[in-house]
Amino acid sequence: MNQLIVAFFTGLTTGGLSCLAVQGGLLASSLEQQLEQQLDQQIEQEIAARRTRRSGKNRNRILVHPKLALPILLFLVAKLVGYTFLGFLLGALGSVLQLNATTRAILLIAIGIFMVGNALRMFNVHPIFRYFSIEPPKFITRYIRRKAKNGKSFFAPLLLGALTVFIPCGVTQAMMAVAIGTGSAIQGAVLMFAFILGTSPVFFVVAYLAMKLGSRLEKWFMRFVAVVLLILGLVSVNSGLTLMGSPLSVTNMIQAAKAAQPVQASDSSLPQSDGTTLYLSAGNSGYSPQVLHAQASTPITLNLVTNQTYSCSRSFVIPSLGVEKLLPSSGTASISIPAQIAGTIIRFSCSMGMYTGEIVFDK
Amino acid sequence: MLKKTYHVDGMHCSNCAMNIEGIEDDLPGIKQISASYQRGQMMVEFNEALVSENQILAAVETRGYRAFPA
Repeated sequence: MNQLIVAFFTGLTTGGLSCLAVQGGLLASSLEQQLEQQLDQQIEQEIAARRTRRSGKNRNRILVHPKLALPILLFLVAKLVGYTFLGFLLGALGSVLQLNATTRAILLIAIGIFMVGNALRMFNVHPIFRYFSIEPPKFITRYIRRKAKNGKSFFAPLLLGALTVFIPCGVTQAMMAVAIGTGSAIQGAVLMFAFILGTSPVFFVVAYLAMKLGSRLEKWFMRFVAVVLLILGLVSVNSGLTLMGSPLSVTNMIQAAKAAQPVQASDSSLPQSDGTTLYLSAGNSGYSPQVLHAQASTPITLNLVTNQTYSCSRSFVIPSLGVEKLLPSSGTASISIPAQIAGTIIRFSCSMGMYTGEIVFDK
Repeated sequence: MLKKTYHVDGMHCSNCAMNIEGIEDDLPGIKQISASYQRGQMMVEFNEALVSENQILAAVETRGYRAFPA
């Protein structure tokens, strides 16, 4: 029971905001379709009202106010169901379903490209970008249309909510690891249910307030959503590249510029690194120091120190060495790194590519 | 039974395609409408004895779009 309460409150606090950064784009995509549809209905009603006015029957302007609570709720319910099912599988099948860093990186890049493509579609840059729009199969649209004669389609928020299982944030991944540890399908499902339930209020409040504000601005809001999608898409691509350890990611470029500067002062509470034994603090807001200097041509030990750390920095990854380690929330974990030639730079990050740093091997 | 393809202007999401397909429920004589937002087109299969091309195009316009023969 305690584990479930912890899972719920982890979701309510760190999980909600961390996942919103990663999955907010999908929610925006689903709401964008809903908003566009409601704008269509408004246009249709205005055309009808204009005709009625011409015939002198009714002079009141008909307005449709976008109803956003329901699609947001559907997105969250689909997400809740999706993750509960994932928890069930994780509990039952153990580590078989755990995604490695490369797979996650590819997924992040693919999702990023999807978001950027959708943003360009909304800006009407070129008709080719229409192919980024999710078109449900005709038999499903026909079924939905006939079921709901008023023409409201909730397919997109439901589908996209369920799809979030493929882009878990670092905190969610940590919870997924706990679900594996339960070793029981039912316990794994209940644990993930409690966690995702905890993240839902944050998702709902932030999304609802943002969308209500936008609905007053009507068409301008579509551009706002497109800009948000564009930014989130680029961030997602950048996170994927960072997670792959690519020097092309903006984060790693900034890191490279920092590495050229004099050594930064490290966390004073950390033991002093000596070139072969390095100490790195993994805190709630990232790694410190972000640049470590190590001795070349000799194996080194990297000690990762955590102290009440609950952010995704706990999920530590060195892409080039294939290292993936889930750190304890408080304590020290050691990683052995084989000897490297002078000038080698090894990049590390959290498993979502949000927090980064590097080890520079000097002579 | 006639089968014709039209270009459609004004669609800006896949829900627009679904809206246009809804015309098949409103006009008797239409067997099927298959609209695609991606291609910006709709294919209509209809019985010209029961519904005219102009009626179909007018129905599309009522929904806020403009269709013309491909």
